[in-house]
Amino acid sequence: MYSKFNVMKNKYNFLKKISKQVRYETIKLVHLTKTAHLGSSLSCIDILVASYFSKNGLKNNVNNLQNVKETFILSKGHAAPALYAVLQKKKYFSKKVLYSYSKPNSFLEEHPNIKVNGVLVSSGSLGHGLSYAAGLSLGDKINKKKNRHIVLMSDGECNEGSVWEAAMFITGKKLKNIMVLIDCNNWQATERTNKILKIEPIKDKWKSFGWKVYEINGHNFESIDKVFNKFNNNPIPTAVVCRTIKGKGISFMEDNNLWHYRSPNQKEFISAKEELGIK
Amino acid sequence: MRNAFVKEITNIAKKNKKIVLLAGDIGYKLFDNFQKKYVNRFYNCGVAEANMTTVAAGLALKGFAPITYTIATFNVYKTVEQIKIDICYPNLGVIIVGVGAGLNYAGLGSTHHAVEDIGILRSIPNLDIVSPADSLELKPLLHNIIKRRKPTYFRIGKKGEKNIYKTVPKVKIGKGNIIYSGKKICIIATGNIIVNANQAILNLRKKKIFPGLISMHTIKPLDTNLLNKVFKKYKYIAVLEEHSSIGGLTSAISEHYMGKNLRNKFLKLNTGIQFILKPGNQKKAQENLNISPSKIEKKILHFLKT
Repeated sequence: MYSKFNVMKNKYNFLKKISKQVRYETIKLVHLTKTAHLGSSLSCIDILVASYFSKNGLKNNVNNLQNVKETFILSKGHAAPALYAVLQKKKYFSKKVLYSYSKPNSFLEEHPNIKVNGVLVSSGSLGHGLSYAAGLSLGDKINKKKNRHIVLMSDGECNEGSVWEAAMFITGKKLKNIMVLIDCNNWQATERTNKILKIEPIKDKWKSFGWKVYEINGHNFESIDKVFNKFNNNPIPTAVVCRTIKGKGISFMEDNNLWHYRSPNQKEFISAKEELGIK
Repeated sequence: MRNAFVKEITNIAKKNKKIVLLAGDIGYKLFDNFQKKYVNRFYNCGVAEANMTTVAAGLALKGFAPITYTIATFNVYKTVEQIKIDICYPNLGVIIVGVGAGLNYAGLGSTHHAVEDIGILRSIPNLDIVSPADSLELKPLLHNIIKRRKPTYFRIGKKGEKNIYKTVPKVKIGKGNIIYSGKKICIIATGNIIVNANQAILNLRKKKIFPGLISMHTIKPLDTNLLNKVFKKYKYIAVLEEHSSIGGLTSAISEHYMGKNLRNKFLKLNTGIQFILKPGNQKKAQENLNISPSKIEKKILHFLKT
């Protein structure tokens, strides 16, 4: 009775533990630098952690600029602190570099910069990531290579027309090995996503563009890992609607859009730390 | 000029296997030969220029030498952010071809007038801007651009343009080309509008006026070495371009020489700052904007009296 179930559970517990540490580092970075986009970072941390650390997720040496093979593009570039915390955990750079975030003379700007090890493209203006992946995949097609290209974007980002240009291009040109994970936290900068532009039913939209679509809980590691597994076995253009909670993990930030721009003060930082059980 | 471009790129792609041509649903049958020869290196990207531009950036990251090709207005005005962030910031060797630039599509209305393109792009770091005078000058410039592997906007004409050269000239990016050496006055022109200057010069010669003529095919980086010499040699300088008076070659020269106490006199010949309404065709539009051969001649005669 024991074995398999518990092993699985333990495996995901490991991801849970990393996720907590990444949450803590992210909150700390934002707190120390009084920068923005904490809520958007917290909503996608579990997706980032699962992508980089789960069994079926990314390999090591992703986004190697010298020899571009497997890639991961954070198209919702405003979640940069979360990405940096993950990249540091993966040893793409040191903790010292991580804590240069948003400081003078540091390439760790508030949006990913190509000059940071582990970052392939400079993102931050929404709606570019998927087209980049399309170009990379087209290059692979010409070279007869198979590399995975993973894009993480936001639901708000689907406002951008270029996202749909890319979606049509990818299926139109029969490109493969592209998976887009959509962090659907139901909020964008100033309002509920579906209240601004009609994004729902988002699943049907992607389906109608010829994509294989999954809808999962974007905080469930097993679900994310499984989706990677399915994609690995059948690498057709795959869109994963990840239902998430903005500000996930900290009770007073969850589903509260105040934290799109706000950074935690000392008191809030301490209570967030306590909630995460970090000593 | 577009035929010369396609012919030349088809030749270059034979040896250079990295060239990938992306077109924005333009050029009916124009690329058939290229497609036939290089099945995997031509893609019609549809009327989706923003995506096409970033796809090119992705290909460049993979080591390819991509070229995006569509009408100048679309390839610049719809894609300026992709050009800046995805191509120029990482300094990728993508060539953005703007076909039918200037007033080549005058009759199609303001939607197709590309007289602001240089102005829009010139302030973007890392981007070179090249505008060949004719099909013959296009050839060596294209070779040169591909060799350099830098972000480049290649501003070309449409079809049936007159040539200024008789044979393929020896030209290099960043080095303006002296067509005529003259006296007292020099016309510095970029793009195919230079042929209007040439015609004006032929008439002016009959009146014992001998203007110099320079093809300033590269607007960025600007050939300031040559300009320094020209400003020393000639008192009267006319700058001719089929572009708005804001942001183009005229602006580039003015910016560089601001505060340098030049003693020269300057004449600006361009499309002005207003929308070009009821243009008829390119020839008629040039006439109305004082950049037709006869109007250039007239303007210069007047200029020399100042």
